[in-house]
Amino acid sequence: MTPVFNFAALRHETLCCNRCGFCQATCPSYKETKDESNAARGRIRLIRAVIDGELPITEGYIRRIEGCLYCLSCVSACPSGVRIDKIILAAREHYVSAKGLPWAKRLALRQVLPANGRISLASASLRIAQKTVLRLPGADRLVPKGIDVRHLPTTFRSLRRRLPALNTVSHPRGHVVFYAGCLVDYTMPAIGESLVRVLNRSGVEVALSRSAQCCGLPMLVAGDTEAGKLLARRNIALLAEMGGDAVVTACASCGHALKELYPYVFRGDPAMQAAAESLSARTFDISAFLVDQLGFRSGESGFLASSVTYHDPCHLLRGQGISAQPRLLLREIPGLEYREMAEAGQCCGAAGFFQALCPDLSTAVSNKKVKSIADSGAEYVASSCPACLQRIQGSLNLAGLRKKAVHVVQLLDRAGQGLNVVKTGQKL
Amino acid sequence: MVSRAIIQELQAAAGKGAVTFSPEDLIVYSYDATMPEYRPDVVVFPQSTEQVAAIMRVANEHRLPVVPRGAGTNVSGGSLALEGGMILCLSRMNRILEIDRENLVAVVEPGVVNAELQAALAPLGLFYPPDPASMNVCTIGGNVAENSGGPRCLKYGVTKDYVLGLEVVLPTGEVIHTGGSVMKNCTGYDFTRLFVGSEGTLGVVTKITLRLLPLAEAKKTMLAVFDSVVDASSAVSAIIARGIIPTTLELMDRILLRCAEDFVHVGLPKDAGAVLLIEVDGFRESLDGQMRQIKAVCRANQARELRHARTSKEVDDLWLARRTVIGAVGRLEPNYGLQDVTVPRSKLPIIVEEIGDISAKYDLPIGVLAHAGDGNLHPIVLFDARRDGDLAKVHAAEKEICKAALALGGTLSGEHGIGLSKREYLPMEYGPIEMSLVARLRKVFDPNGILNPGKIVAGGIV
Ligand code: SF4
Ligand code: SF4
Repeated sequence: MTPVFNFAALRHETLCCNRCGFCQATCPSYKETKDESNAARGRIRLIRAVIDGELPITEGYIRRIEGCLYCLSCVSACPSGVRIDKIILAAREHYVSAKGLPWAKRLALRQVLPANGRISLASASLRIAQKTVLRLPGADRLVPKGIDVRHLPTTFRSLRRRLPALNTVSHPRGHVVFYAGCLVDYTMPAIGESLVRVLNRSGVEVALSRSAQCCGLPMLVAGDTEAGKLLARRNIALLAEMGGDAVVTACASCGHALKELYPYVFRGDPAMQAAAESLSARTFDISAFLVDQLGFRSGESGFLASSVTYHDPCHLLRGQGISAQPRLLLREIPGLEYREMAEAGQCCGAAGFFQALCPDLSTAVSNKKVKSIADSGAEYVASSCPACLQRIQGSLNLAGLRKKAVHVVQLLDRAGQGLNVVKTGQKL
Repeated sequence: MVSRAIIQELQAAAGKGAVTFSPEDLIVYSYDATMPEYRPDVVVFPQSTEQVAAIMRVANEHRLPVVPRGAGTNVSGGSLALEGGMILCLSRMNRILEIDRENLVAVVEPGVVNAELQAALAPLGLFYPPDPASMNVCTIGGNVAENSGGPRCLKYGVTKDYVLGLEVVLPTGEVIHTGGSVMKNCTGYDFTRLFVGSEGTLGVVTKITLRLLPLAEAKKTMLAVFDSVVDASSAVSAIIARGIIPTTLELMDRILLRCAEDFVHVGLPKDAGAVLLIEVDGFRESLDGQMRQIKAVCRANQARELRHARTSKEVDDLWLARRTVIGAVGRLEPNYGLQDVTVPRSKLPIIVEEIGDISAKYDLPIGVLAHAGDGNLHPIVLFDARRDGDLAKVHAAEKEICKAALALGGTLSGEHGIGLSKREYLPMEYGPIEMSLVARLRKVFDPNGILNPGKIVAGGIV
């Protein structure tokens, strides 16, 4: 496969690390292991060693680069402005093109995720397993440690089979396309249903992208750039064709892919880059869309007697620079008490396939999150990413805490139930 | 190279998982926050004093060089494995063993991160004053080894003023205890102070007893903006001469202001010649009076603007800018040489002017960052190692800065230590007798010369 990133050209970027070490303070993999080769600074140095031929691509090298959760904490903490994320992506692509993908990843990234039918089948099969084999004593041995596979959300009916292609309202004030992404579509359709209801109640009609595909982020961060780009191309074309005032997402990682990664991977291809940038400019996380584009005020949207804390997904907080809007929405829900947790911006430990590949590290990171949530004393933990919600809910379950992890739009939806206000405001 | 037999002995001493010699690990333990790199032969991560003692016995028997280190944020090359051998990484000995509120004392292991200790103390209304810019990552063990300072050391003093006692493993493997939890101690020599600032050359510190202070009731933070760096430093000398000791008096010149602002985006005046970051703390009622006096001095020294931080967010932003600025110079040039000269406080304006002259003479940008109230400067020479000739020029410029400071009655290092980077300058400050005393003293503790060989003064394994 032809590399997308010019690996050798990154040498300059690796040299911009002046080794202050400040990234240790934020890097979850360093904080757990206290091992320099698991910190951003160490990874950058190892990558330079490979670029310079000082180190061949060893298994130990791959393991250390794979140990990065792509949480972007180092990127925002680095005083020198080193783009560690881009260096990591390039390094992964480099060794994947040299050594290929391990079979399990290959199966997931090349066979399952690019084919919607197979994702649906996978979700349904897991659901059957949850109701059968996973109930058997000793089934624990079958599943990765630290992940509550028995209660992972699964469904027989995906969002695209639950909802019509166009969810309209009378006299719509706007028309948006909802890019649901695999996890919402095939495992947590309730988030999508809530999102559609909240937008409909605000007078906005919502089209679902029925043939939309996986956003490609899992491939891009795994170093299978070619597979990721293929999906990116299809989504860019499809979403351009669907038009609308905006594209909204409810998944922080999908949003990060559409907004940030698509334009990046098509650098050097002017036509595609322009198309990617135009999609990027009209893609919004749902909280940002509600607050910034729609002027949505949850204060006028019902009542919910409870308390909530908020977890910042890495790919929303640092991946898209959004933290105020979801908090504003939660704070304004009448009856709902908002409690900020400690270190809300710390990674939840999920990091996609990372949790299955590095279960101990992932669980250690996740348990810190669980502690922050428990200490906040809130009943609900809200977030903006289905991947975080699944991991957090699982870790809460395993810790024996009876708290619910929900998407921000689910709380907005619940608070607004019974209300049927269609706001006839300005056109978008 | 370390033989398989030695590796096995080390594994027996520290546990199998605590010893690594894989190429990946050796590469990442070959550097600290300075430029040079030296690959160790083995890296060991002990988790107890007993393990450290056992490791030292193995190393001593086999004449294996040992370089103790924590987070690897050393800015004088002190944690580099100059002669190969072993990196003894103490980051995993990171327990806070005790916080004694009645005696205002804490006992910690060396791998505890400075900020983690502060975080544990703050809810109890206590703090540990030394606050190096790298406090979010650097370890207390490293702070002890380097006798680290920080902005608020102007009012509160440096690490050595807070270390009451130590547990130390000697290079020969014996464990000794110095000092204790008492506030006064006049029994025999002050071994504690001898180890503090010894840069990992006399022993491996495994337990540290620290003096704590109650947090001040309130503080006020202000940014004084000047058109010229010389005016700013004159203001510093004048404040001190008036007998006013604020908590911090930090100086950043234009080069650094620009780098800092490009990272933190908090509205620092990028067109100013320099700023002073001034903080006072104490009883609420006393603060306004102190600030009033300081402001008057600043105005008399041509301050063009005095900005108060109004919210705690504004205070945090200013400090974030200050703490990260050395790293942020990476935005201008990939490499920097950081000096740490210290002059009598009245000489600050003179040395600042001289640094300006040296910068012009060598045609190298030199940023001036200073714990100005202490007369402790961090001139930062910016360069790009890939451009030919720069390196020699950089060294010449640095040497001249050191000379200038010494001529003013100053010293080479205020808080970073000599390590490797300033080793060649030491004979400018030490005479032959002092130089030989250093070597002789080391021999008393470390007859085989295995501990951090080649640091402070040249010399290696005996
Ligand atoms: S914070 Fe940035 S410059 Fe500093 S060590 Fe980490 S990557 Fe390098
Ligand atoms: S992205 Fe996260 S896990 Fe990866 S190096 Fe940076 S801080 Fe560490």
